Amino acid sequence: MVNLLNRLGIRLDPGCWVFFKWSVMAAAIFWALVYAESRESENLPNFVYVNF
Amino acid sequence: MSISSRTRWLKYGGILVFTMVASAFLAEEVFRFLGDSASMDLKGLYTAFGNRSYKLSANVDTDASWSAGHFSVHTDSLGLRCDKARLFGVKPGDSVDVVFMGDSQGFGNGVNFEETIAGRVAVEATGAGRRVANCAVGGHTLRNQEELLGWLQERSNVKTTAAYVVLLTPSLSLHSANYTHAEVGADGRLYGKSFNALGRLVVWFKTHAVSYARMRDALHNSGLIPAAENTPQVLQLYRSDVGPEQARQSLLSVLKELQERARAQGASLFLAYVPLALEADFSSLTKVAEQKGMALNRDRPLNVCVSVAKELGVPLWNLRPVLEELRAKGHPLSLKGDPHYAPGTSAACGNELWSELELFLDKPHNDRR
Repeated sequence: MVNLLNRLGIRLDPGCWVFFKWSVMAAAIFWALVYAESRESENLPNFVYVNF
Repeated sequence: MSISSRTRWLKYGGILVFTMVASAFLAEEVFRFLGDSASMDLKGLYTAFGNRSYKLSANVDTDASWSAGHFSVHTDSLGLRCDKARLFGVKPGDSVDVVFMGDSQGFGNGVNFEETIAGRVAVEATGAGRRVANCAVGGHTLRNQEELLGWLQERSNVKTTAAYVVLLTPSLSLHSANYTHAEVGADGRLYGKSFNALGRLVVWFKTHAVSYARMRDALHNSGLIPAAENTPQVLQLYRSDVGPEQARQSLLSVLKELQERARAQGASLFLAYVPLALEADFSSLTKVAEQKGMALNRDRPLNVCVSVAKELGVPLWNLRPVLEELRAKGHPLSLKGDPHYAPGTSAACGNELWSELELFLDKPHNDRR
């Protein structure tokens, strides 16, 4: 990955790599939450949704 | 901010965007692996018709995955909703005993044909040697429905021999004065006037990315969509400070035309009040209205229907007790995150209507009036 980026002329400092790792973790948590919340649930939110 | 600092933050922003986009592609593959499939979102279902209106296209097989769940829609050669095998389909020149009219609830938004009110009646009626057609189309007013019925009778020679049943939802009861106009896109979907490039992009995501449905359901289930954005249409239906006379006159006018049409074919007109599921437990809506300083009358749409039925001298079947009974037993009345009836509610309403219709159809023809 680093070699590929270097070949493309993109130089990332150590701070960027740390930020990248945090971004990957944030993305993983985001999609895990989407998966968990999107499953069938009997507990409906207390709101009225209209789709006429 | 120095140039080096700005460059660093630009890099961080780029990394974040890259990670989220890459993770979206990965999530898409994972959801597909788990069995998700992209929704057709009712592609090809509609065709332009009549007075800048629309109807269902003929011989369509399509589906949709809404927050309420997955359902399929099939139409016959006239564009009336039927089952997948088209056993309940109607052809030009056919005679049917009963024709149903209505809006999205009559059409059966969110459920399969056999789970709709008219579909349930059709299944029961077939066992008794009767034929049932369903003209209901989502978003139609009774003006649109009257236009469609005219086309079926005069251009397609479909004869209705016994009963016209109008499924009157609160919306249909109170908004019958005008036609619903909508644009039918080249893809056979309905589009409002304000449909723009962003809207088309949303439809593209909806019909190509399974992660769209996952994110939508997650938003609905978590309650992140605020109630205030979704309730005004419902509140307007029950406002106690709006008199019934205008709605009553509009409904009366179009139902008189339908009654004349029915008489000309030797059939009778019947009305069925199809309440919103909320009417079985009105307290939640009353609380929302109180927060907005509004007073509601649960019986406003029903009273309009009762008054009109009395003036026309036709029976009105009120389905609210059916919903109240189901609620008392703890059954879910509507679909998840959608006001349209759950399959069990439609089936119970269909059974109730069939028990009334069966009594009428069993009478000798001369005694039916």
